[in-house]
Amino acid sequence: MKDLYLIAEMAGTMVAIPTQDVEAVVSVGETVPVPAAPSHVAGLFALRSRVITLIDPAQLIARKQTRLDADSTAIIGSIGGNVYGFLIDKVDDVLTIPSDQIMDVGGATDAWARLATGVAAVEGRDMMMVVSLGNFIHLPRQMAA
Amino acid sequence: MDDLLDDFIAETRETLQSIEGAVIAWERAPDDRETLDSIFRFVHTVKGSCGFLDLPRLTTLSHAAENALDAVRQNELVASQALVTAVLAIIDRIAAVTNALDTQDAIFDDDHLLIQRLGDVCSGAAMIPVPAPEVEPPRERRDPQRAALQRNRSARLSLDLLDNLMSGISDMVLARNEMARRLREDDVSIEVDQLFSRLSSSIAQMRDSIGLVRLQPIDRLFVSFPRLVRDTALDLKKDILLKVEGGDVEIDREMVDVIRDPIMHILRNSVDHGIETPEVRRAAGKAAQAVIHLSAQQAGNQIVIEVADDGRGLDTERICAKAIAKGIIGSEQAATMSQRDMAELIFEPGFSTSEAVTDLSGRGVGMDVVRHAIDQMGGTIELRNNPGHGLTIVMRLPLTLSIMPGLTLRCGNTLFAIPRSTVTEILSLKGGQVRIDRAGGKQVASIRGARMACVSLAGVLGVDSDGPGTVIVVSISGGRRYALAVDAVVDHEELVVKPAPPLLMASGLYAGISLPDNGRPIMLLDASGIAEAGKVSDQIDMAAPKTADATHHKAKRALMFLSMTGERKAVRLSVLDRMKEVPASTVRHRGGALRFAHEGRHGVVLGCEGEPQGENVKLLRLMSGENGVLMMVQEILDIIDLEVVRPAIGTPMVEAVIEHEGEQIELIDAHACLAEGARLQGSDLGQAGGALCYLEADQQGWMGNVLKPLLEAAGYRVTHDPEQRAAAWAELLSEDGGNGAAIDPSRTILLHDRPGQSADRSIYRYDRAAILRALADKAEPGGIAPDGIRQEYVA
Repeated sequence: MKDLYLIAEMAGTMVAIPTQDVEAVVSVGETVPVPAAPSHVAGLFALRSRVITLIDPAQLIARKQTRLDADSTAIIGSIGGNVYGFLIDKVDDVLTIPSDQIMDVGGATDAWARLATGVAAVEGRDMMMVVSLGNFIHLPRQMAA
Repeated sequence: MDDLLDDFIAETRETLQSIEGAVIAWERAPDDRETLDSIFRFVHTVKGSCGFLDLPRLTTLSHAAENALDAVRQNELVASQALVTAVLAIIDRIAAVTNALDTQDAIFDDDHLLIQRLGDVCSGAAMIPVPAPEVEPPRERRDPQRAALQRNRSARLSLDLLDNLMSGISDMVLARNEMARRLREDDVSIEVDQLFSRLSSSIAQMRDSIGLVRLQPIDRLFVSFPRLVRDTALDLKKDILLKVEGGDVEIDREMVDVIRDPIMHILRNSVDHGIETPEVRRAAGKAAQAVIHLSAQQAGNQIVIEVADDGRGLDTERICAKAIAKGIIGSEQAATMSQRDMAELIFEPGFSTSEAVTDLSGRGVGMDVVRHAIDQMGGTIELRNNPGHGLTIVMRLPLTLSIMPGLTLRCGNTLFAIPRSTVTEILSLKGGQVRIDRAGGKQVASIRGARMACVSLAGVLGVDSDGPGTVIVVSISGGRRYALAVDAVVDHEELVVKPAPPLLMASGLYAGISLPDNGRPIMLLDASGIAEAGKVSDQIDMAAPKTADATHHKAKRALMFLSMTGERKAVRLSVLDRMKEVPASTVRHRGGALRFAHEGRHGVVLGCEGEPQGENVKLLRLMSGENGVLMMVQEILDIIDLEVVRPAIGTPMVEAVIEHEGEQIELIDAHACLAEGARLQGSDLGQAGGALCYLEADQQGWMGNVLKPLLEAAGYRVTHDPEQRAAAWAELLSEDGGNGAAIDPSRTILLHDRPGQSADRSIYRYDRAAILRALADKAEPGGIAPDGIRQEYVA
């Protein structure tokens, strides 16, 4: 469990997310916009009886808005007692990545340097950003402060 | 208290059952650390709870067992068979006494023998035989079966389980609604329909029951306060008794956490500031022991919590002085405030009645935080001050935090909810009971004679709108209210409200999130936050009663007319020369201005954009001294008294906003019109060689940008040059400015920036009439003040 990662494509980049952060991968239903919210909040949607705040990582990474459609997929994770959904392009795999294959985020572009916790190099695969979902919630607030 | 006792009994029995195994295991293997620990935890818990519940027997018993077990845990004692027996005897006795608490039987009190034996075992002394507990004949024998029936059957649930239950029910409701929709679409047999409606109603019942599970007696909260008051009072050498009433009122368990701090703060304030020392009380003829009543009461769907003390009450004079010193209000404002308003100053941010910050009530938290907390949960707080005799603080809170009646509103394609408790009225814009005007640069709603600030929800949230169709009147704390313009009110429903993530709360516009039965999330609006974003507090003077300076204008009258753009406007009668109807062809756009020429008369025409159409037009001739200008109007309406006049800001050609029959009407700025006319005619009124005024150069540029044009339009010459200051015959300084220079009352005019006040010392800086009057008064006999101005404003 410890070194297990969900591999997904997020904002056009392959990322590795620790599986213990991931509660579920769901398809995003109908969303409701939240006026006056930060730009990376893509809206709200209901997952059974819970209201999920949908985060668009592309806004934080490339300042681009992801278009929502029927195929939109999100990773569900709870951070600080609140449940968020993080839009991803697609889910790829679940992999065990030993910690010695994860390096510092040295060469990453600006946004990833802040958002990723490391870079994973796995044989036979492109480099992947190791992502802590909490960073998408906490960092923008710190940056705004 | 009874409920607490029931809980204690239930809990103790439960634990006894669960450690029964451990007790037996310990008997067999006295060295087993784990069983020892679990038994130790049990007696420790019992000791903690019964100390709190005032059960001395159980306290003594558990205390003795705890000491012995602790010694074993510290390896100071060996768990010999004798010790195990002695401890178990005590645990048995605890069980017997606990049972007796429930059945109200009496157990013969020979606890000291048990305790002594344990002590003896610990110190290695010989054993004394111990009698088995005897059941005394009960004082009042109950029928055991009936007692069992009457016993409060209760179960303890973990909060997680409860939350799971709640969300499970919500899921079921959503699924039911979806199902209902599908069933409506398809043709189904009567049987299916009936079955579904049965299912549907049992789900509804279940939801209601689960709702009740959330409730708990407010005593859970109140029970900790007597101690708090006692300790606080002891520190301050005061003698205070806290009387608690209505502890059986049930509130939502989430609510308990939210109201704890506000009540605690109010109590601390009361003990610290409200209650006098015993000496002072005696001197005032009161009982040395002060009493604070804390009570809860359910009234409809509200909980009313009252904290009443018999202390000195609020000293409104002192509060006022402090508020002035802290710059919360101005001294002139204070003079016009009611006692009640003064008392409510304690809710202002930055106000603290305590001179020194004490560790009791001065934790950097003031009553403003209390009010904010109460506001947040949709409640109200009210002060009943009886100076010298005490203060009562009344809080009205919704029954539950998580389920509140709400209104759903629509703006463009988005729905929002607002707590029903904040809405006092819903009005359709089509009905004509409400009108929204732009007057003096602000949006103002007029509703049956009352005026209030109007906030556009779409504007505040930055969302699309189909155009406002409905206005709701929203009341917020401090008796303030405003009109909220929305596209439509959609529905009225019970909303299960949950907190929104900080990310969404940061804007200050929302109070939470809800998921209505249709499964589409909805944001709950924060009525106070919307008011703030809509800058309602800045406009609060509009709802205030007549201000003192209104009397200056009482004798004034104005002509009300319908402007060419169809709005009602007014012009002061004092500048009106004549009215006439002329052929439309006599008014033509020539030489960069609309000009009238007919039968040897001519003049510049204002009030119309293009050349007039139709046969005749109506012209008003405004006159002041030698200058005149014509104003084209659609219709002459009436002559009205100028009663309530509020200066306009930043709007050319509008002098003020006046009130007539509950309507906001713009008063034409005659001087701006005359100046404009003069400019267009080529003779600038502003260069008429008026008297020189010195204006202090202020940082915001208000003097130069706002006041200077006004004075120039009124015919004065203006300078900022300090070297010319002595030469000027009058000078205008801001009240807090002046750079400490000597003030010469014969030529200095001080300005302040607090609306609604007038005083001898200074003038409100937007009270243009008063400024011009004061300037005119400074003029030397013979009147250097420009002609015309004087007659009009000094009348």
